[in-house]
Amino acid sequence: MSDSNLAHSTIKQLADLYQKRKVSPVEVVEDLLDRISLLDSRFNYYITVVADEARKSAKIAESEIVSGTYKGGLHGIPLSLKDIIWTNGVLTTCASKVMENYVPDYDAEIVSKLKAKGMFLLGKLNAQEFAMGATGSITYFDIPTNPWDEECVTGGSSSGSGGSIAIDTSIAAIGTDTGGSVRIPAALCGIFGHKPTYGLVSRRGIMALSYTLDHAGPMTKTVEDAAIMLDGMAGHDPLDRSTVNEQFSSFTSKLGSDIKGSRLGIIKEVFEMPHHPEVRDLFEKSVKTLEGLGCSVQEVSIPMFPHARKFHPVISISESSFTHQKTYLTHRDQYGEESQRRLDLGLLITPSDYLMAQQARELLKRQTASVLETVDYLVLPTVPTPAPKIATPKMLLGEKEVNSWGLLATYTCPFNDTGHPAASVPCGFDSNGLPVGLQIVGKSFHDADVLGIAQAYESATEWSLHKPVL
Amino acid sequence: MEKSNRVVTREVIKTMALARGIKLSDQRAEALIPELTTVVEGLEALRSMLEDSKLEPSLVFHVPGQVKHVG
Repeated sequence: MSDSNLAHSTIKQLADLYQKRKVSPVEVVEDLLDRISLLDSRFNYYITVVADEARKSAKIAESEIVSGTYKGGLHGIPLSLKDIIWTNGVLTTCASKVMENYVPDYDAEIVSKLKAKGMFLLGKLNAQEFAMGATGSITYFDIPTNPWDEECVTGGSSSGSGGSIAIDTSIAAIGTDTGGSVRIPAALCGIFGHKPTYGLVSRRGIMALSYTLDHAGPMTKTVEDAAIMLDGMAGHDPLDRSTVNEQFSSFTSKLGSDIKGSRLGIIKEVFEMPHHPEVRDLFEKSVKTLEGLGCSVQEVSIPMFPHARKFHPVISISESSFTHQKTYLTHRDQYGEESQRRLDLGLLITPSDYLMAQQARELLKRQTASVLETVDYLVLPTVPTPAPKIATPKMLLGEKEVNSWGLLATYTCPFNDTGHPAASVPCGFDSNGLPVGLQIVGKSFHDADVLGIAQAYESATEWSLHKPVL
Repeated sequence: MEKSNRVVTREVIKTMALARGIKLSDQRAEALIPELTTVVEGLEALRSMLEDSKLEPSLVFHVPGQVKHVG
Protein backbone atom coordinates (compact mmCIF):
# COMPACT_ATOMS: atom_id res chain seq x y z
CA MET A 1 0.00 0.00 0.00
CA SER A 2 1.30 3.41 -0.83
CA ASP A 3 0.22 6.74 0.66
CA SER A 4 2.12 9.78 -0.45
CA ASN A 5 1.01 11.69 2.65
CA LEU A 6 2.41 9.39 5.32
CA ALA A 7 5.23 11.80 6.21
CA HIS A 8 2.56 14.30 7.23
CA SER A 9 1.17 11.89 9.81
CA THR A 10 1.27 12.15 13.56
CA ILE A 11 2.40 9.37 15.86
CA LYS A 12 -1.21 8.71 16.84
CA GLN A 13 -2.42 8.54 13.26
CA LEU A 14 0.30 6.07 12.31
CA ALA A 15 -0.33 3.94 15.39
CA ASP A 16 -4.00 3.69 14.43
CA LEU A 17 -3.12 2.79 10.83
CA TYR A 18 -0.59 0.17 11.97
CA GLN A 19 -3.08 -1.47 14.28
CA LYS A 20 -5.61 -1.68 11.47
CA ARG A 21 -2.84 -3.02 9.21
CA LYS A 22 -3.59 -0.29 6.69
CA VAL A 23 -0.04 0.99 6.54
CA SER A 24 3.39 -0.48 7.20
CA PRO A 25 6.34 1.25 8.90
CA VAL A 26 8.27 0.39 5.73
CA GLU A 27 6.03 2.69 3.70
CA VAL A 28 6.35 5.45 6.27
CA VAL A 29 10.13 5.28 6.16
CA GLU A 30 10.17 5.40 2.36
CA ASP A 31 7.92 8.46 2.34
CA LEU A 32 10.09 10.18 4.94
CA LEU A 33 13.30 9.37 3.06
CA ASP A 34 11.77 10.73 -0.15
CA ARG A 35 10.75 13.91 1.61
CA ILE A 36 14.15 14.33 3.26
CA SER A 37 15.78 13.83 -0.12
CA LEU A 38 13.48 16.47 -1.59
CA LEU A 39 13.74 19.13 1.09
CA ASP A 40 16.66 18.70 3.44
CA SER A 41 19.39 20.18 1.25
CA ARG A 42 17.31 23.37 1.28
CA PHE A 43 16.63 23.57 5.03
CA ASN A 44 19.64 21.67 6.50
CA TYR A 45 17.80 19.98 9.35
CA TYR A 46 19.54 16.59 9.22
CA ILE A 47 23.21 15.93 9.89
CA THR A 48 22.89 12.17 9.47
CA VAL A 49 20.11 10.05 7.98
CA VAL A 50 20.39 6.33 8.71
CA ALA A 51 18.39 5.19 5.70
CA ASP A 52 19.51 1.55 5.63
CA GLU A 53 19.16 1.08 9.37
CA ALA A 54 15.72 2.71 9.32
CA ARG A 55 14.58 0.45 6.45
CA LYS A 56 15.77 -2.65 8.32
CA SER A 57 14.15 -1.56 11.56
CA ALA A 58 10.91 -0.73 9.77
CA LYS A 59 10.85 -4.20 8.23
CA ILE A 60 11.33 -5.79 11.66
CA ALA A 61 8.58 -3.60 13.13
CA GLU A 62 6.28 -4.54 10.27
CA SER A 63 6.87 -8.27 10.93
CA GLU A 64 6.26 -7.84 14.65
CA ILE A 65 3.03 -5.90 14.14
CA VAL A 66 1.74 -8.32 11.51
CA SER A 67 2.55 -11.28 13.75
CA GLY A 68 0.54 -9.73 16.57
CA THR A 69 3.31 -8.61 18.90
CA TYR A 70 2.27 -4.98 18.92
CA LYS A 71 4.18 -3.03 21.56
CA GLY A 72 1.91 0.00 21.77
CA GLY A 73 1.60 3.51 20.38
CA LEU A 74 5.28 4.04 19.63
CA HIS A 75 5.85 0.75 17.82
CA GLY A 76 7.13 1.28 14.30
CA ILE A 77 7.43 5.06 14.69
CA PRO A 78 10.63 6.58 13.22
CA LEU A 79 12.53 8.76 15.70
CA SER A 80 14.71 11.76 14.90
CA LEU A 81 17.14 13.02 17.51
CA LYS A 82 19.01 16.22 18.16
CA ASP A 83 22.60 15.34 17.40
CA ILE A 84 23.82 15.79 20.95
CA ILE A 85 22.02 12.58 21.96
CA TRP A 86 24.18 9.46 21.93
CA THR A 87 23.21 6.72 19.48
CA ASN A 88 25.00 3.39 19.46
CA GLY A 89 27.05 2.99 16.28
CA VAL A 90 25.71 6.20 14.72
CA LEU A 91 27.68 9.41 14.20
CA THR A 92 26.95 11.92 16.96
CA THR A 93 28.57 15.26 16.22
CA CYS A 94 27.08 17.75 18.68
CA ALA A 95 27.07 19.96 15.54
CA SER A 96 30.77 20.57 16.17
CA LYS A 97 34.04 19.99 14.38
CA VAL A 98 35.37 18.71 17.71
CA MET A 99 33.02 15.71 17.45
CA GLU A 100 32.70 15.38 13.68
CA ASN A 101 33.81 11.74 13.64
CA TYR A 102 32.50 10.59 17.01
CA VAL A 103 30.50 7.37 17.07
CA PRO A 104 29.18 6.39 20.52
CA ASP A 105 29.10 2.75 21.59
CA TYR A 106 25.87 3.03 23.53
CA ASP A 107 22.46 4.65 23.33
CA ALA A 108 21.32 7.45 25.58
CA GLU A 109 18.93 6.15 28.23
CA ILE A 110 15.91 7.78 26.59
CA VAL A 111 16.85 6.24 23.23
CA SER A 112 17.05 2.79 24.85
CA LYS A 113 13.67 3.34 26.45
CA LEU A 114 12.02 4.45 23.22
CA LYS A 115 13.59 1.61 21.24
CA ALA A 116 12.21 -0.82 23.80
CA LYS A 117 8.77 0.60 23.00
CA GLY A 118 9.35 -0.13 19.31
CA MET A 119 10.64 3.18 17.98
CA PHE A 120 13.64 3.16 15.68
CA LEU A 121 16.15 5.75 14.55
CA LEU A 122 15.63 7.73 11.34
CA GLY A 123 18.38 10.31 11.75
CA LYS A 124 20.29 12.89 13.74
CA LEU A 125 19.31 16.52 13.62
CA ASN A 126 21.23 19.75 13.33
CA ALA A 127 21.59 22.03 16.35
CA GLN A 128 23.55 24.93 17.73
CA GLU A 129 27.10 23.69 18.39
CA PHE A 130 27.10 21.85 21.75
CA ALA A 131 23.62 23.38 22.31
CA MET A 132 25.30 26.67 23.27
CA GLY A 133 22.79 29.26 22.09
CA ALA A 134 19.19 30.07 21.29
CA THR A 135 19.25 31.00 17.60
CA GLY A 136 20.06 27.47 16.47
CA SER A 137 21.97 28.83 13.50
CA ILE A 138 25.54 28.50 14.76
CA THR A 139 26.62 25.02 13.76
CA TYR A 140 29.66 23.35 12.17
CA PHE A 141 27.28 22.15 9.45
CA ASP A 142 25.07 24.13 7.06
CA ILE A 143 22.76 26.66 8.70
CA PRO A 144 19.20 25.45 9.32
CA THR A 145 16.64 27.98 8.14
CA ASN A 146 13.14 28.76 9.36
CA PRO A 147 10.49 26.89 7.36
CA TRP A 148 8.18 29.94 7.41
CA ASP A 149 10.84 32.40 6.21
CA GLU A 150 14.21 31.11 5.13
CA GLU A 151 15.91 34.36 6.08
CA CYS A 152 14.98 33.76 9.71
CA VAL A 153 16.40 31.52 12.42
CA THR A 154 14.59 28.38 13.50
CA GLY A 155 15.37 29.12 17.10
CA GLY A 156 17.52 26.76 19.05
CA SER A 157 19.39 25.10 20.11
CA SER A 158 17.22 22.20 18.86
CA SER A 159 16.96 23.86 15.45
CA GLY A 160 16.81 20.77 13.24
CA SER A 161 14.24 19.19 15.54
CA GLY A 162 11.90 22.18 15.31
CA GLY A 163 12.28 22.63 11.58
CA SER A 164 12.00 18.98 10.56
CA ILE A 165 8.76 18.49 12.49
CA ALA A 166 7.34 21.62 10.84
CA ILE A 167 8.09 20.44 7.28
CA ASP A 168 7.23 16.80 7.95
CA THR A 169 10.67 15.30 7.46
CA SER A 170 10.33 13.87 10.98
CA ILE A 171 7.36 12.24 12.66
CA ALA A 172 8.71 12.72 16.18
CA ALA A 173 11.83 14.37 17.51
CA ILE A 174 13.64 14.89 20.77
CA GLY A 175 15.33 18.13 21.66
CA THR A 176 17.11 19.33 24.75
CA ASP A 177 16.34 22.45 26.74
CA THR A 178 18.77 24.29 29.02
CA GLY A 179 17.39 27.81 28.58
CA GLY A 180 14.50 27.16 26.21
CA SER A 181 15.99 25.01 23.45
CA VAL A 182 12.92 22.80 23.03
CA ARG A 183 10.35 25.57 23.47
CA ILE A 184 12.04 28.32 21.44
CA PRO A 185 12.34 26.37 18.16
CA ALA A 186 8.88 24.90 18.80
CA ALA A 187 7.47 28.43 18.99
CA LEU A 188 9.44 29.85 16.07
CA CYS A 189 8.74 26.86 13.80
CA GLY A 190 5.05 26.54 14.73
CA ILE A 191 5.09 23.11 16.41
CA PHE A 192 4.56 21.71 19.92
CA GLY A 193 7.42 21.27 22.39
CA HIS A 194 7.45 20.18 26.01
CA LYS A 195 10.19 20.68 28.59
CA PRO A 196 9.41 18.12 31.27
CA THR A 197 9.83 18.72 34.98
CA TYR A 198 13.50 18.51 36.00
CA GLY A 199 14.04 14.96 37.24
CA LEU A 200 11.37 13.31 35.12
CA VAL A 201 13.52 12.33 32.13
CA SER A 202 17.06 10.95 32.20
CA ARG A 203 19.86 12.94 30.57
CA ARG A 204 22.36 10.06 30.61
CA GLY A 205 23.99 9.78 27.21
CA ILE A 206 23.17 13.34 26.26
CA MET A 207 25.97 15.88 25.87
CA ALA A 208 25.76 18.01 28.98
CA LEU A 209 25.53 21.75 28.60
CA SER A 210 24.62 22.65 32.15
CA TYR A 211 23.96 19.76 34.51
CA THR A 212 21.51 21.55 36.81
CA LEU A 213 19.56 23.15 33.95
CA ASP A 214 19.53 20.48 31.21
CA HIS A 215 16.26 18.79 30.24
CA ALA A 216 15.30 16.53 27.30
CA GLY A 217 11.83 16.76 25.83
CA PRO A 218 9.59 15.75 22.93
CA MET A 219 9.02 18.00 19.89
CA THR A 220 5.97 16.94 17.95
CA LYS A 221 3.14 17.92 15.62
CA THR A 222 0.50 17.63 18.33
CA VAL A 223 0.21 17.70 22.11
CA GLU A 224 -1.09 14.15 22.09
CA ASP A 225 2.06 12.92 20.34
CA ALA A 226 4.22 14.60 22.97
CA ALA A 227 2.26 12.88 25.74
CA ILE A 228 2.70 9.51 24.01
CA MET A 229 6.44 10.20 23.65
CA LEU A 230 6.76 11.25 27.27
CA ASP A 231 5.16 7.99 28.37
CA GLY A 232 8.05 6.26 26.62
CA MET A 233 10.81 8.59 27.82
CA ALA A 234 10.08 9.35 31.45
CA GLY A 235 11.26 7.35 34.39
CA HIS A 236 13.91 6.84 37.00
CA ASP A 237 17.47 6.22 35.87
CA PRO A 238 19.79 5.17 38.69
CA LEU A 239 22.71 6.49 36.64
CA ASP A 240 21.21 9.98 36.35
CA ARG A 241 20.90 10.97 39.97
CA SER A 242 18.65 13.91 39.11
CA THR A 243 15.79 11.59 38.15
CA VAL A 244 13.13 10.82 40.73
CA ASN A 245 12.18 7.28 41.63
CA GLU A 246 8.41 7.57 41.44
CA GLN A 247 5.64 6.06 39.39
CA PHE A 248 3.57 8.43 37.25
CA SER A 249 0.25 7.76 35.59
CA SER A 250 0.18 8.06 31.81
CA PHE A 251 0.96 11.53 30.48
CA THR A 252 -2.02 11.08 28.17
CA SER A 253 -4.34 10.80 31.19
CA LYS A 254 -5.46 14.43 31.17
CA LEU A 255 -5.90 14.78 27.40
CA GLY A 256 -9.45 15.63 26.52
CA SER A 257 -10.36 16.50 30.09
CA ASP A 258 -12.38 19.58 30.97
CA ILE A 259 -10.16 22.52 31.94
CA LYS A 260 -13.07 24.59 33.22
CA GLY A 261 -12.20 26.20 36.53
CA SER A 262 -8.43 26.11 35.95
CA ARG A 263 -6.73 29.16 37.43
CA LEU A 264 -4.23 30.89 35.15
CA GLY A 265 -1.62 33.34 36.36
CA ILE A 266 -0.23 36.08 34.13
CA ILE A 267 3.14 37.23 35.42
CA LYS A 268 3.00 41.02 35.55
CA GLU A 269 6.76 41.38 35.07
CA VAL A 270 6.61 39.65 31.66
CA PHE A 271 5.39 42.67 29.72
CA GLU A 272 7.65 45.02 31.66
CA MET A 273 10.45 43.26 29.76
CA PRO A 274 11.24 43.97 26.08
CA HIS A 275 8.71 42.29 23.78
CA HIS A 276 7.20 42.61 20.33
CA PRO A 277 3.71 44.16 20.36
CA GLU A 278 2.32 41.57 17.95
CA VAL A 279 3.48 38.77 20.27
CA ARG A 280 1.62 40.43 23.12
CA ASP A 281 -1.53 40.80 21.01
CA LEU A 282 -1.49 37.14 20.04
CA PHE A 283 -0.85 36.14 23.66
CA GLU A 284 -3.80 38.20 24.88
CA LYS A 285 -6.04 36.57 22.28
CA SER A 286 -4.92 33.13 23.41
CA VAL A 287 -5.73 34.02 27.02
CA LYS A 288 -9.22 35.02 25.89
CA THR A 289 -9.57 31.63 24.22
CA LEU A 290 -8.59 29.92 27.48
CA GLU A 291 -11.07 32.10 29.37
CA GLY A 292 -13.67 30.99 26.85
CA LEU A 293 -12.87 27.42 27.84
CA GLY A 294 -13.73 28.24 31.45
CA CYS A 295 -10.35 29.23 32.90
CA SER A 296 -10.07 32.13 35.30
CA VAL A 297 -7.22 34.58 34.95
CA GLN A 298 -5.40 36.61 37.56
CA GLU A 299 -2.27 38.72 37.62
CA VAL A 300 0.61 37.38 39.70
CA SER A 301 4.03 38.74 40.52
CA ILE A 302 7.38 36.95 40.41
CA PRO A 303 9.85 39.76 41.13
CA MET A 304 12.90 37.64 40.27
CA PHE A 305 11.52 36.64 36.85
CA PRO A 306 13.14 39.48 34.85
CA HIS A 307 16.44 38.93 36.66
CA ALA A 308 16.88 35.35 35.47
CA ARG A 309 18.61 36.72 32.37
CA LYS A 310 21.32 38.07 34.66
CA PHE A 311 22.01 34.95 36.73
CA HIS A 312 20.93 32.11 34.42
CA PRO A 313 23.88 32.59 32.02
CA VAL A 314 26.30 32.61 34.94
CA ILE A 315 25.12 29.14 36.00
CA SER A 316 24.92 27.83 32.46
CA ILE A 317 28.31 29.13 31.36
CA SER A 318 30.06 28.00 34.57
CA GLU A 319 28.68 24.49 34.31
CA SER A 320 29.44 24.14 30.60
CA SER A 321 32.94 25.47 31.21
CA PHE A 322 33.41 22.68 33.74
CA THR A 323 32.04 20.06 31.32
CA HIS A 324 34.32 21.16 28.50
CA GLN A 325 37.42 22.04 30.51
CA LYS A 326 39.60 19.10 29.46
CA THR A 327 38.59 19.02 25.81
CA TYR A 328 38.73 22.79 25.53
CA LEU A 329 42.35 22.83 26.64
CA THR A 330 43.37 20.54 23.80
CA HIS A 331 40.85 21.36 21.05
CA ARG A 332 40.04 25.03 21.55
CA ASP A 333 40.71 25.92 17.92
CA GLN A 334 38.12 23.42 16.75
CA TYR A 335 35.29 25.06 18.68
CA GLY A 336 33.23 27.63 16.80
CA GLU A 337 33.56 31.32 17.61
CA GLU A 338 30.37 31.51 19.69
CA SER A 339 31.28 28.43 21.74
CA GLN A 340 34.76 29.85 22.32
CA ARG A 341 33.25 33.12 23.50
CA ARG A 342 31.09 31.32 26.06
CA LEU A 343 33.80 28.96 27.24
CA ASP A 344 36.36 31.76 27.54
CA LEU A 345 33.87 33.70 29.62
CA GLY A 346 33.41 30.59 31.75
CA LEU A 347 37.09 30.77 32.65
CA LEU A 348 36.48 34.13 34.30
CA ILE A 349 33.45 33.37 36.46
CA THR A 350 34.43 32.88 40.08
CA PRO A 351 32.94 30.51 42.67
CA SER A 352 31.40 33.57 44.33
CA ASP A 353 29.68 34.53 41.07
CA TYR A 354 28.33 31.01 40.69
CA LEU A 355 27.06 30.79 44.26
CA MET A 356 25.45 34.19 44.05
CA ALA A 357 23.70 33.14 40.85
CA GLN A 358 22.51 29.96 42.56
CA GLN A 359 21.24 32.02 45.48
CA ALA A 360 19.28 34.21 43.08
CA ARG A 361 17.97 31.08 41.39
CA GLU A 362 16.77 29.74 44.74
CA LEU A 363 14.85 32.95 45.31
CA LEU A 364 13.20 32.62 41.88
CA LYS A 365 12.31 29.01 42.66
CA ARG A 366 10.65 29.93 45.91
CA GLN A 367 8.74 32.85 44.42
CA THR A 368 7.52 30.71 41.51
CA ALA A 369 6.51 27.80 43.75
CA SER A 370 4.65 30.23 46.01
CA VAL A 371 2.71 31.69 43.06
CA LEU A 372 1.87 28.19 41.85
CA GLU A 373 0.10 27.61 45.16
CA THR A 374 -2.39 30.33 44.20
CA VAL A 375 -2.86 29.43 40.51
CA ASP A 376 -2.75 26.15 38.58
CA TYR A 377 -0.74 27.37 35.60
CA LEU A 378 1.34 30.29 34.46
CA VAL A 379 0.77 31.45 30.89
CA LEU A 380 3.06 33.73 28.91
CA PRO A 381 4.49 33.99 25.43
CA THR A 382 7.23 31.44 24.74
CA VAL A 383 9.49 33.96 23.01
CA PRO A 384 9.13 37.76 23.24
CA THR A 385 9.64 38.23 19.50
CA PRO A 386 8.84 36.39 16.27
CA ALA A 387 11.80 34.62 14.62
CA PRO A 388 14.70 37.05 14.11
CA LYS A 389 16.75 37.20 10.93
CA ILE A 390 19.79 34.98 10.55
CA ALA A 391 21.85 37.83 9.16
CA THR A 392 21.31 40.36 11.93
CA PRO A 393 20.07 40.38 15.50
CA LYS A 394 18.68 43.88 15.10
CA MET A 395 14.91 44.11 15.41
CA LEU A 396 12.53 46.99 15.98
CA LEU A 397 10.26 46.69 19.00
CA GLY A 398 7.95 49.62 18.44
CA GLU A 399 10.44 52.43 17.86
CA LYS A 400 13.28 50.85 19.79
CA GLU A 401 15.95 48.75 18.10
CA VAL A 402 17.03 45.73 20.16
CA ASN A 403 19.33 42.71 19.92
CA SER A 404 16.62 40.15 19.35
CA TRP A 405 18.98 37.16 19.63
CA GLY A 406 19.67 38.15 23.20
CA LEU A 407 15.94 38.20 24.00
CA LEU A 408 15.06 34.74 22.71
CA ALA A 409 15.41 32.89 26.03
CA THR A 410 14.22 35.58 28.43
CA TYR A 411 10.75 34.03 28.91
CA THR A 412 11.89 30.42 28.86
CA CYS A 413 15.11 30.24 30.91
CA PRO A 414 13.43 31.03 34.26
CA PHE A 415 11.68 27.65 34.10
CA ASN A 416 14.97 25.84 33.55
CA ASP A 417 16.08 27.54 36.74
CA THR A 418 12.96 26.45 38.62
CA GLY A 419 12.59 23.06 36.91
CA HIS A 420 8.83 23.41 36.39
CA PRO A 421 7.22 21.69 33.38
CA ALA A 422 6.72 24.12 30.51
CA ALA A 423 5.25 23.62 27.07
CA SER A 424 5.00 25.74 23.93
CA VAL A 425 1.89 25.42 21.77
CA PRO A 426 1.29 27.40 18.55
CA CYS A 427 -0.95 30.43 19.17
CA GLY A 428 -1.01 32.34 15.90
CA PHE A 429 1.02 34.18 13.31
CA ASP A 430 2.39 37.70 13.15
CA SER A 431 1.77 40.05 10.23
CA ASN A 432 4.76 38.54 8.38
CA GLY A 433 3.35 35.04 8.66
CA LEU A 434 5.78 33.91 11.37
CA PRO A 435 4.45 31.59 14.08
CA VAL A 436 4.22 32.55 17.74
CA GLY A 437 4.05 30.22 20.74
CA LEU A 438 2.03 30.24 23.95
CA GLN A 439 3.98 28.93 26.94
CA ILE A 440 2.11 27.02 29.64
CA VAL A 441 3.89 26.26 32.92
CA GLY A 442 2.60 23.93 35.61
CA LYS A 443 3.46 22.61 39.02
CA SER A 444 6.43 20.28 39.33
CA PHE A 445 5.64 16.74 38.12
CA HIS A 446 2.20 17.87 36.92
CA ASP A 447 3.31 17.42 33.32
CA ALA A 448 0.10 15.56 32.48
CA ASP A 449 -1.91 18.62 33.54
CA VAL A 450 0.23 20.93 31.40
CA LEU A 451 -0.29 18.63 28.43
CA GLY A 452 -4.01 18.49 29.19
CA ILE A 453 -4.54 22.25 29.10
CA ALA A 454 -2.20 22.61 26.11
CA GLN A 455 -4.30 20.11 24.20
CA ALA A 456 -7.52 21.86 25.20
CA TYR A 457 -6.09 25.08 23.75
CA GLU A 458 -4.80 23.28 20.65
CA SER A 459 -8.23 21.72 20.05
CA ALA A 460 -10.00 25.06 20.45
CA THR A 461 -7.83 26.69 17.79
CA GLU A 462 -6.46 25.69 14.41
CA TRP A 463 -2.94 27.04 14.73
CA SER A 464 -1.33 23.61 14.92
CA LEU A 465 -2.88 22.63 11.61
CA HIS A 466 -1.09 25.37 9.67
CA LYS A 467 1.86 24.23 7.57
CA PRO A 468 4.53 26.30 5.85
CA VAL A 469 4.15 26.66 2.10
CA LEU A 470 7.31 25.10 0.69
CA MET B 1 23.20 49.73 44.65
CA GLU B 2 26.59 48.84 46.14
CA LYS B 3 29.44 49.12 43.68
CA SER B 4 31.46 45.99 42.98
CA ASN B 5 35.12 46.10 43.93
CA ARG B 6 35.89 43.64 41.12
CA VAL B 7 38.60 44.77 38.72
CA VAL B 8 37.96 43.82 35.08
CA THR B 9 40.94 44.59 32.89
CA ARG B 10 42.66 42.90 30.01
CA GLU B 11 45.52 41.76 32.26
CA VAL B 12 43.17 40.38 34.92
CA ILE B 13 41.27 38.45 32.27
CA LYS B 14 44.45 37.04 30.76
CA THR B 15 45.73 36.00 34.18
CA MET B 16 42.46 34.34 35.19
CA ALA B 17 42.31 32.41 31.91
CA LEU B 18 45.94 31.38 32.20
CA ALA B 19 45.30 30.04 35.69
CA ARG B 20 42.77 27.71 34.03
CA GLY B 21 45.27 26.72 31.35
CA ILE B 22 44.15 28.94 28.45
CA LYS B 23 46.41 31.62 27.00
CA LEU B 24 44.26 34.42 25.59
CA SER B 25 45.47 36.96 23.07
CA ASP B 26 45.30 40.66 23.96
CA GLN B 27 42.53 41.07 21.41
CA ARG B 28 40.52 38.20 22.86
CA ALA B 29 40.94 39.45 26.40
CA GLU B 30 39.90 42.92 25.33
CA ALA B 31 36.74 41.53 23.71
CA LEU B 32 35.84 39.77 26.95
CA ILE B 33 35.94 42.95 29.06
CA PRO B 34 32.38 44.07 28.21
CA GLU B 35 31.11 40.48 28.51
CA LEU B 36 32.56 40.00 31.99
CA THR B 37 31.51 43.48 33.02
CA THR B 38 27.92 42.63 32.08
CA VAL B 39 28.09 39.49 34.23
CA VAL B 40 29.59 41.30 37.20
CA GLU B 41 27.19 44.24 36.97
CA GLY B 42 24.22 41.91 36.47
CA LEU B 43 25.03 40.00 39.64
CA GLU B 44 25.77 43.21 41.50
CA ALA B 45 22.31 44.47 40.64
CA LEU B 46 20.87 41.45 42.46
CA ARG B 47 22.92 41.92 45.61
CA SER B 48 20.53 44.10 47.57
CA MET B 49 17.55 42.03 46.47
CA LEU B 50 19.22 38.89 47.77
CA GLU B 51 20.21 40.53 51.02
CA ASP B 52 16.66 41.72 51.60
CA SER B 53 15.20 38.30 50.79
CA LYS B 54 16.51 36.76 54.05
CA LEU B 55 16.78 33.48 52.14
CA GLU B 56 17.68 30.54 54.38
CA PRO B 57 19.89 28.60 54.50
CA SER B 58 21.90 31.69 53.79
CA LEU B 59 25.13 31.84 51.86
CA VAL B 60 25.53 35.36 53.13
CA PHE B 61 27.49 36.18 56.24
CA HIS B 62 26.72 39.44 58.01
CA VAL B 63 28.41 40.84 61.05
CA PRO B 64 25.83 43.18 62.59
CA GLY B 65 26.71 46.80 61.95
CA GLN B 66 29.27 45.99 59.29
CA VAL B 67 29.15 46.11 55.52
CA LYS B 68 27.08 43.32 54.01
CA HIS B 69 28.80 40.81 51.80
CA VAL B 70 27.18 38.35 49.41
CA GLY B 71 28.69 35.27 47.85
